[in-house]
Amino acid sequence: MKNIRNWKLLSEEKWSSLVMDSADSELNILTMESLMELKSILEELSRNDTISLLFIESGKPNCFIAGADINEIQKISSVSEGEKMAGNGQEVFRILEDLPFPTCAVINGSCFGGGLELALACTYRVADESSKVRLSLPEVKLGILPGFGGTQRLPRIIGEAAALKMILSGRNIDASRGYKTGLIDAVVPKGYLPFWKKKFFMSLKTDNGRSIIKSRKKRVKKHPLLRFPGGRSILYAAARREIIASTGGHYPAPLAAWKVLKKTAARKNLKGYALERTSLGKLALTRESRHLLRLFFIDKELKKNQFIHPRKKIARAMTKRPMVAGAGVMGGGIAWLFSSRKIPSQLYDISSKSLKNGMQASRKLYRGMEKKHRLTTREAELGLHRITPLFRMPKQLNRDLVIEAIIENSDVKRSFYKNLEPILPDTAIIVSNTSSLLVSELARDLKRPELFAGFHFFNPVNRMPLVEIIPGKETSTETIDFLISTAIALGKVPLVVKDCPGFLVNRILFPYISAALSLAERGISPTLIDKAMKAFGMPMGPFVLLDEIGIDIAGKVGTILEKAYPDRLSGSVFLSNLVSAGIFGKKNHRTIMKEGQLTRKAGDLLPKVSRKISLKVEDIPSRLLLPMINEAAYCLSEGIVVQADYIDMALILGTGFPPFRGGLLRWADQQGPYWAFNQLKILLEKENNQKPCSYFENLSRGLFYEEEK
Amino acid sequence: MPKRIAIIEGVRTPMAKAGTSLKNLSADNLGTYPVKEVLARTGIDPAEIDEVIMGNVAQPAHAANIARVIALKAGLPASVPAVTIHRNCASGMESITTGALKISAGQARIIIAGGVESMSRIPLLYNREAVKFYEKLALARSPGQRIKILLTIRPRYFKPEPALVSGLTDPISGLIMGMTAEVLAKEFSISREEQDDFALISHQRAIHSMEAGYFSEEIVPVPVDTEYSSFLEEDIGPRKGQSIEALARLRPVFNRKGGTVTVGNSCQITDGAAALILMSEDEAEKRGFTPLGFLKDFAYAALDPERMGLGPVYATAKLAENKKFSLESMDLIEMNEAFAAQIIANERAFPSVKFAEKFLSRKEALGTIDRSRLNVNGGAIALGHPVGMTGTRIVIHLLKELKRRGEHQGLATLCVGGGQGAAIWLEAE
Repeated sequence: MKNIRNWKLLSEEKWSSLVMDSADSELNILTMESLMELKSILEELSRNDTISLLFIESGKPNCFIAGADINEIQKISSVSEGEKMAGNGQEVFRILEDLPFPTCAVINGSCFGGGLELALACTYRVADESSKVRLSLPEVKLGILPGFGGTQRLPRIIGEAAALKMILSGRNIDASRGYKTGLIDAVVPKGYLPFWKKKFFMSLKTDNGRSIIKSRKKRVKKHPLLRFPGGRSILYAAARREIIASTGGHYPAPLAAWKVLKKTAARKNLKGYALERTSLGKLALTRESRHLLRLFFIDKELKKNQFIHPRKKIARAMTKRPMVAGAGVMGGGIAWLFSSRKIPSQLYDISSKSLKNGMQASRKLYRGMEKKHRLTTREAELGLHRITPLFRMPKQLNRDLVIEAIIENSDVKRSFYKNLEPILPDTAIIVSNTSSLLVSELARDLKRPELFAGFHFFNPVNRMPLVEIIPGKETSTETIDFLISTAIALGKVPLVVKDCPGFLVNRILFPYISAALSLAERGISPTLIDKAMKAFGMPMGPFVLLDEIGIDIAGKVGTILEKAYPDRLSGSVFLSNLVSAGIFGKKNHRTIMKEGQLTRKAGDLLPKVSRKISLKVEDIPSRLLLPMINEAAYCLSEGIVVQADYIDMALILGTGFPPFRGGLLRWADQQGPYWAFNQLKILLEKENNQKPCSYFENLSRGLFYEEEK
Repeated sequence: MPKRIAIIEGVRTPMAKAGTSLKNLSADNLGTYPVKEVLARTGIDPAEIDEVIMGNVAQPAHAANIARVIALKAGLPASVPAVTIHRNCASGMESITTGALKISAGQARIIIAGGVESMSRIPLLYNREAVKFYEKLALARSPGQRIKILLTIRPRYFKPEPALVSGLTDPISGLIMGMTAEVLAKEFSISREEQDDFALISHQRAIHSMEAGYFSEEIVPVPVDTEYSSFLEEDIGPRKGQSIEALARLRPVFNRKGGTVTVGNSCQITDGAAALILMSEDEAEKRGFTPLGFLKDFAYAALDPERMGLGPVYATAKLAENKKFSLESMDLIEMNEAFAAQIIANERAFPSVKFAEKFLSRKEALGTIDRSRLNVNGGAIALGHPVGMTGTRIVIHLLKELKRRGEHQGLATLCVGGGQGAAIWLEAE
């Protein structure tokens, strides 16, 4: 075997080990090259009658095989090409399955997608005991399905019901869960693996593996519904309902996977593999899958390409001793975030009541993790000890980062920095979690403005994956890199954004909320608007969103943004009515919406209209999204971010814009050349005699993306 | 001590009567808060700490070597060693003096010393008979045997032995601590009224200091449980409405007939923790710290367990062997109020030439203790006495109070169960 780059065959006295060690990457990736190499190795081994047992192992720490190569999936340009690709994988794994001797996958870490499918084709699977072991078939999350036989082999090993759950959700399980379901045959501490292999070899010799298979079958629980005739269709109907409920039916992949399983999982012949291949080929070409794959790459790019000094180690430094000042909802959430990532932090507030609330917020998040068995009570308690509540500001503050999350008032914030700067080391960075104030304005009186920036988390901090990093006029490039590293260490996606009122996400989101309020004031019911936007794919309608973020806060941010962009935003009577009536949303349990319906109290505050405007329900989404598109065009023309796909990603991560739509600007492009521009022209002229952003004139055919042209 | 040792900063938790506000917080959790707070206030990198030394009397079963548990929970790196120290009521002082000696000997540069006690969490134990029963049960070989043994169970097995009571009883003399106070009351003819008067002063001074905010400098609020249901920010021992009449109504607890010591004129059983940072004076200067104060010298002495309350005289006499020390020059004295009777006995023994000749082998008396300089902000009768923690608390409080008043010399002293005394000479600049 020559020119094998990704595999090594090691022969020991009694057995052989085939070790995967991807030549070009830190993780093991099943590229077509490595698959073909595997094929030639396996073909040769199948003719070898001296081998009695083959282990398939990984040469990478904490990673068995991370899956197929997503670049290759993205390049698929026709159904037949996709089918062929899946067919190749299926063929190789078939050879693996049909080897004349038993095989065992030794799983030492992440085992995803194609990696798990490889393990499924082995006769046995053993996992080491480390917490790094994670098993999943996450393909549906990328808009495709497991195409290397996963939909066929998984149900046969762990049962149909469990396989259905794992494939449709794409969620991962750990080694002990894998053992319980029968997916894993043994969980062994890492250091014992050499002994275990000997024992395993001996046991295969004595009974040909019967005892292992017997124990596996015992652990596989047959779903009660599968025990009587007709139960299977009930099970599948329920699974389908669950898909529709969680995805709104917007994502074709889980539905296709569902169909493949329903049609083939109970069959014993090989026809299922053919259906799996074709389904993959079809799915890989869907718009949704293209979008999800693209977003996957933008996510990677944002974590990699924004560093200004990518080579300098010093610029990759991140915080070791952070303080969060202001223990409100955001401050408490940020402190928890540090704690959950094992970074000890201080949480400071002048009010002991706020500190209590901040600590309780953390406690609650840890409780939630305990309930899901993601950690133990002991670990949660230790996690809380990593947050030190501070009731007074020390005279000397030995911190390398202070995240200020106090009230949204420029004077208060600036005077806070004034007291902070002299007690901090000269190299410490101060950032503000402001959502609406200008960073350069906040940095006005600082002695070291180069060490100051905006660092904007989204609420709720534990769930929203985006952090906007906003350099002021004088912020140093090292400061920016430090913040990017810190955001990544916190498991967030950083996005460097130019300083402007509202930054990127709120600035683009507000025209949407404003448009929704204005429609409501002109007679379109908020209930209807929310329903239309949910149907579009938004996680919630604009009015439920207002309830979530706090109507009083929306009012305050709105006032600031209206002042900043007066030609595009105007005040809302409905909003100010709500605020003055004390309807602040979820936080004070007085909301605009309740169970999807407008509450009577809020309804009474809608201004009376003599003539309702006429608008078809299906036109509501574009009516709300067009003002966003216009504002996004302004952001691009001002260079707030440099690329359209950064805007799309930011809105997906920061507001929950539906990923299957590919993003706001992708969606706009898909409506056709000049669509957004023409629609905006009509809309804006009628509304307030304005024109769309001049940026549209630079766009060829009025499209934001080259490829869509 | 050849050179004085700098105390950079010290803080303590609020103190709560056992079984009240802090009952849901275990000692190891309670102890982390002052440790984290001194680190935050001084800004010292936890990795620079050479050792954590904590005093603790009722060492909890779930946290063996509690100092180590506290250190790790408070975020000190795993590489910092920690030791728990037990010298009964002086444990929180022994931790400081042990740390000072280590620094003097060049074994350490920076030390966190402190004390912690959760008297709420002192366990109830099975009595000996019940333990035997369980032993037998564990050895049963068959279900039949097990049932047979189960049938021997008696109601008296359920009567627990409170470890608190055993812990407060001197095993040599057999006297519970309160009885040692009765011994002193008799020896020095101290009346019930005198004791109650002193108790009242303790409450009045503590209440005044609380209202004036004198304690706020030294207190770090702590959550009442690991749920962070609320924070306790102030001591709960001092009674605003305490009156001589109310004190007089209480019945003696230790000697019910003819005794004088009541719960009102004894210290309270309390939960609390404290910690401070020690380093050499040179180190403090190098790092640009203005220390809270300095430890000049100290002494421990021992005596008959029955008269343990006189520990302060004995220990101070030993401290006075240092020629530079004189009681007259002490601006403030903190003497732990185990019992009012015990404080008054010391007040009488200190100036007595007879006492000095008979018990201290000195020709002259140590000097008088001026009440206006003694426990000026109240003591354990009002604030409580978490046994392992008090030693640290009175050192911190004495230094902060000297600083507040712009005064310089101070003596902190304790009597120690089992018949010992501790005295520590402090200086503020």
